[in-house]
Amino acid sequence: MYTYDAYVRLGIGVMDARTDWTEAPGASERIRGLDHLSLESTAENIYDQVTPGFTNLAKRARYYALYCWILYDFFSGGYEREEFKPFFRRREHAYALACLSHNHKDGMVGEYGIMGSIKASRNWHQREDPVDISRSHIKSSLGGYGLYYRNAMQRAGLIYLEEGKERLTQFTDGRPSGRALAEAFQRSIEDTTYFRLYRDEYDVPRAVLEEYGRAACVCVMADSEDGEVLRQALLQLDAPEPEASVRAMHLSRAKTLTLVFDAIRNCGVERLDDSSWRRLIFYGTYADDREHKVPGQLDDNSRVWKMYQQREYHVYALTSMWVAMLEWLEDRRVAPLEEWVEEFDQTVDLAQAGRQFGLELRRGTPSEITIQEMLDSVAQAAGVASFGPALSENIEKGLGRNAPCSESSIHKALAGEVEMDISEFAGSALWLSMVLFARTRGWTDADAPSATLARTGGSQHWSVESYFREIDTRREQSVLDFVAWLYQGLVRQHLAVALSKMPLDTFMVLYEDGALHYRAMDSPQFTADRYETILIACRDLGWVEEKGERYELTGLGEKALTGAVEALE
Amino acid sequence: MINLLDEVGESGFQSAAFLTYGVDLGFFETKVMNRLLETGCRNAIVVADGHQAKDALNSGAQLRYVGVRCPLVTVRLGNRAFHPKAALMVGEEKLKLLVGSGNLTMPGYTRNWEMFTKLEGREAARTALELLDVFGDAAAWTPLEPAFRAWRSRLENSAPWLFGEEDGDRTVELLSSSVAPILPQVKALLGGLVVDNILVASPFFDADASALSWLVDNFFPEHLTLLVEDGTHLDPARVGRVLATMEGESSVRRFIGASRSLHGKLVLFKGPWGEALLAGSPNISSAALLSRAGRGSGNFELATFRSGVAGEFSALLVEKVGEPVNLEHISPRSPLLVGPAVSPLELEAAWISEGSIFAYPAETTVQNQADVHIALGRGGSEIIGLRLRKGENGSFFRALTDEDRLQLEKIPVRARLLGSDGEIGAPVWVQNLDIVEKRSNPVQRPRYAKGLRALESDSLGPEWESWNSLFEAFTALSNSWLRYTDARRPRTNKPAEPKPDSQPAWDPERFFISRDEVTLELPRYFAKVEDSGVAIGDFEYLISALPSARMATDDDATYGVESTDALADEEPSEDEEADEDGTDEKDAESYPEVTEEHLQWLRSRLHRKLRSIVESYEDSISEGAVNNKAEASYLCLPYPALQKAIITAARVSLLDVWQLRELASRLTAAWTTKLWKNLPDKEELEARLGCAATSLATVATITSPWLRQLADADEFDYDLHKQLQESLRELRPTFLSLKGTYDAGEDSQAWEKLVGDYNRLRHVELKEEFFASWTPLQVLEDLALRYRVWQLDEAPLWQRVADELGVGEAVQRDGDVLRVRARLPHVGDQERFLSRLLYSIHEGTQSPAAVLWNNEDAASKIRRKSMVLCPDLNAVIEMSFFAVKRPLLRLHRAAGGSTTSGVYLNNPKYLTIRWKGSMIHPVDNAQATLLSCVATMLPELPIATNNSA
Repeated sequence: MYTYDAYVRLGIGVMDARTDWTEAPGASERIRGLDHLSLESTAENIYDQVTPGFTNLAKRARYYALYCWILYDFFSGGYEREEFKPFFRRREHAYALACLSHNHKDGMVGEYGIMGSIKASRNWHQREDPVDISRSHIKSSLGGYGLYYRNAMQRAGLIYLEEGKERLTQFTDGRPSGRALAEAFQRSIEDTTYFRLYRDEYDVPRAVLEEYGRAACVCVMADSEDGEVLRQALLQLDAPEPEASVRAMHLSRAKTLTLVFDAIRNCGVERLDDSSWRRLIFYGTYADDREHKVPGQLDDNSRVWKMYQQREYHVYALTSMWVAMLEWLEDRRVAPLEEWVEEFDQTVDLAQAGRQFGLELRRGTPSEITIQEMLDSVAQAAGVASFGPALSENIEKGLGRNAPCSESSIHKALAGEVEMDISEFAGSALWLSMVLFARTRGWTDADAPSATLARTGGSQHWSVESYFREIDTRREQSVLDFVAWLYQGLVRQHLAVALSKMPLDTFMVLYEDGALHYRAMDSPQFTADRYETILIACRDLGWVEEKGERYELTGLGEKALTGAVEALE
Repeated sequence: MINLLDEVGESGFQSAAFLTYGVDLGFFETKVMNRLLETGCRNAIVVADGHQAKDALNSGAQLRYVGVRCPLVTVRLGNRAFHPKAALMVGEEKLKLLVGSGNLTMPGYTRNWEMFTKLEGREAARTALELLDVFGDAAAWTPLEPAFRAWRSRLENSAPWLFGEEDGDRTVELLSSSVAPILPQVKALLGGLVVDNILVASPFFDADASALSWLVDNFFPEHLTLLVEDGTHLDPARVGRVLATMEGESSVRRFIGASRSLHGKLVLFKGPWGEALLAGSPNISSAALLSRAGRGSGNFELATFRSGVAGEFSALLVEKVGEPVNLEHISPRSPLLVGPAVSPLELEAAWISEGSIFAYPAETTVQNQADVHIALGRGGSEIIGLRLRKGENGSFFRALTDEDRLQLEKIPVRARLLGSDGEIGAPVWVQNLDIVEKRSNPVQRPRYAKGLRALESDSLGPEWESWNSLFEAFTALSNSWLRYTDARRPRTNKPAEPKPDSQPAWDPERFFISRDEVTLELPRYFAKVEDSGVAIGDFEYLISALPSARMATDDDATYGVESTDALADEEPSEDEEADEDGTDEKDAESYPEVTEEHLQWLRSRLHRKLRSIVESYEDSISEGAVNNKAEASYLCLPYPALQKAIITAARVSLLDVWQLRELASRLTAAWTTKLWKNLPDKEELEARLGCAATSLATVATITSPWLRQLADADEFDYDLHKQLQESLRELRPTFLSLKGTYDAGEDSQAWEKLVGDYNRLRHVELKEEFFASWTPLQVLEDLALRYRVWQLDEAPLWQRVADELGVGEAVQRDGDVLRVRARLPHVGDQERFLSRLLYSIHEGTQSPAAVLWNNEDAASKIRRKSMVLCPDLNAVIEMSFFAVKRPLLRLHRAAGGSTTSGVYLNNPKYLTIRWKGSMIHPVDNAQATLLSCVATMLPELPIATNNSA
């Protein structure tokens, strides 16, 4: 036996050899993460088409005006570029304090969505006077602008990028622009002491901030001049814009606003919150079962929302199936996927799971029934003898949202309204997928735009179209075969998504020696509600007001709706 | 610590081989293979346990490389595990070995506590050769052994230095159970040295603790320490019994893993002489440590054994040894060993070699059958069903048709055995050794000095001569890009040359390039160019060898004299020897008369073939993003080869000037499309840049010495590609501004200026601040102005529409019917495509017309689709024929139309049909009228026109 030393002593060349433990790259980067199957973001891509200028996190309309004004103030002040961050943070912090100090108007949204409100609130409540606004109020150097609003403002046509630098839009034809919005905001505050004396100061008296709040709080935008400019900017039905894509963006946003106005005007006593909106656009009926008659001019827009919600149910069903497996694996810690499929066959009683939704099956064991039998069961609940692709329109008509087996009902049950064990949960999720397929199969090729929307995500992200196609081809297979295919796909999808995020560690399962190793739990959910954001903006801008339990159009809203419908004709 | 992903991702290696028990193919492709390709490591292979690799997630994975770029060799040892874990990486100057405990999975490479021994440097060559022997031992257990042999052969060609390095130090011993049981080998190596202490760490101890017992009985340690954790598989009672024999001189300690699982396996020996460490794949079991590998005996294991001074290896455990723990308090778990169970319809392996497909059933009962039926598929759908006849050693085989072969070479496919009653076996990945061979040639450093010298010395004028010399230089250059020695060139049987005094009549069979060879050999050569880089010599040889070429040109179209000739390594024929003796070549060769008819036929075939190759190239560079350097390099290489082929073909009058312009333009358009792929307005750019002028500039740019110098890239790789892309990207504004002036460019003077610019572009000195003043922007600006020089003839509307839809070459007009043979567009675009083609025939709806589209996408469920315009009925009938289900009919109302939208279709509705005896029968008189119209236009459709309702 030769040792390294012996070789060295003998002057023999020695290879570079090392025995060591292996590193775990990224193991310390464990994060909770989102969208572990990479299915949810596709829905966001769909509704992005009809909500340009809004994002889930840019919630308060007046921030559009504030940020335009900050840019305007900066550009017109002759500052150096490197001065921008402190310049910006002073103004954003002061504005947060001003809003927090303000007694908000009744019925308005209130303090919700104030950028940096947690730390700013702490600063405000220390009762010091003057307030030191050099203290940090938000972690990100460009605050809410950099985090949430910049992209939304760009898509609203208020700013644009020139060689990577923000510029305010400005037009000579009197169109609403970023510059016009900034100037209007400045006029709203130009008489305040803050504007005149303190906007570049770090110690601002409380009274000055309170006065600033009275002039410019998020809750008083509706009656302000900048409110009017922003209303015009967001509701451009026929923008004299040379770029076709920008023009289309304005039109799309304006149509969505019109659709919202129309729905609110006709919703009767229903409180049109996010869940009501989802049901309205998906089923086309109000709570009292009246049909939601979409003005013809808004058909294309309404279709996008409808297909968006279809995708939401699709993803909810798949994610629920995934979560059911994780729940099972959490107990087992390590097990092959095949065992879960076996367990599914042994424990999931589809007849029993279906019965709670009014769906009848003669047998409930997944290996003993076919997908077609499940689909027939859905068809029969709709009064149709059996399922066929050409009959999905009839099934859709036969199953309204109030049907016990509607997507909405099953979703509610899965979301916690009904207590279920893992097997019932998995069975119900599968039923949700089948009901969605049976009812909306025809949507995916109803016309070219619908087909395009259904294809969004492609097979990589389980587009509705590719998933439906798979169900279609597997109709004569046993449910268990389908489930086996489905779970292989889900696990592969998750592993691929988590691998792509490495070195960040977002694995919910690991896969080794042919078995899955449990890491963490996931949960099914809808994507963030963009409608809620739009509703808040509409309230801030004075188009919509909250009256008791309901939302109603204001006079401004009525006028905007009437004008929009006429213009669209 | 060792970061395995970094280790295998290091650049400078051309070959890599992996041994593993479990494998996660998705992980391997994403995190390992991608990186290997990125670094230019193209010759890769994975050898894994056959029972592990067949699990559902691997079988159903969406793969890109396994089986077509990297063979997966699966080894089955019956009820024993194929359990080694190692990586061997070899480059021109580099060598690395990793031998340890981690499988080729995400946890094995990035999460578990694994222990590896890493060896680097040429001094490790001896160990590397031993490891190659271990690979060879493993491959001997599988019918896929040829895959390993081919890999090794590629390694020998690309790294011959390794095989001359038989010496080397022995500080690290490689111990494989394929040679002998491991622990006895260790005992022999320790050679009677006194062992005071043994420390054992492993996630698995055999049920009767016999391996542990063997350690105690053979080394007589004074103290024995076990490192365990919750989850360690052991039998506390049995292990406790072994420890009891130590009479108190034993301890069980908790492994401190800090949330990472222990998967490393090691035995540390200590004595007055120092320390020795056994680490690698074997767990502490008799199957792993006390038996030789084999079915029914022991596992296939691999470990390293090292000795060192006191503390050298125990230092690795200082922070890992935790508090004493009672074995009863450990929560053991059962191992998840995938058993050797084999289902009746299981394939152990399937592979393609030398144009035939082979399958090896796992069950001996099936192996004894006369034949088997298999289905090949991808993405869940079957694409080919084949019956295989019995071959040797239990395998079955069948020669593939060219069509099948082409279908099977693009992406990984799965094979399943079919039972007599329609049952389907589990899938296994097909290892396409033919295509792997083409694609896995290790990327070599360029040896282009000769080519560059030629490039730099020539002076390119507007005459053909100068251009020909340019492409001569390309030949040298491109050949230098690959290590493409004559010895490795494909051989083609060459019939004897005709005797000088004979004058045989035209007989296609007697020609080297016969009709069959045009149809069979050309694709093979072209496939080579597409798949494995440049083979310009082949092109040149092939084209100049065409009989038409010989007859059509007697100036300087040469045959058989080029050093890069595909036949260069063949034994010279008598005639060739005569040539060398001084016989005048032209006198010596006497060709049969080729009629103009033959020539036309050849021209037409060659033109079509080149078009299809350009199309394939367009497809290959427009599919997906370029992910890594290797892919970029791979995409770039065929470009000059194809240009050369086209130019040479034109040079010998096999293409006329319009065909030349068309092909050169299309090829360049494909190239530039790729370059501009990520830019907005690319459609507009494509239209404008679809000209050969840009081609010249591109060629000039990629071959310019100054650019190589600028990019500091001495090989044609991603760096160069990137540099080129960036410089061309700068052109965009210039092109946009020139839009309005394109139409002004024309005349031959423009061409001469273009050529002049081209030369200046190539030879400009870097010192001239190229990008700042006299830049390629200006040159290309001029080239763009001359765009019209290269414009094509006006084609008929149907041809233009077909071209615009990207199916130009796939459409044939037959009276009022257009027949398309191509991949169907996505379902959302099908109606638009067909209605546009329908309109393009008569530009309206007044005459009957039909489009029949045969779908070449084998993965699609739609086999073909038709659209028939029946003007008398104001109707268009759309029919879809599926692989498995009944056809679907849709009736549209037809009205007018436009070039851009096609026939206007509205009020679509599906028709219920009767499908009986694989024929469509009308259900009523109205439908009978419609179907009669369809059947008249497209008699090949399965329509029964009698009204059987």
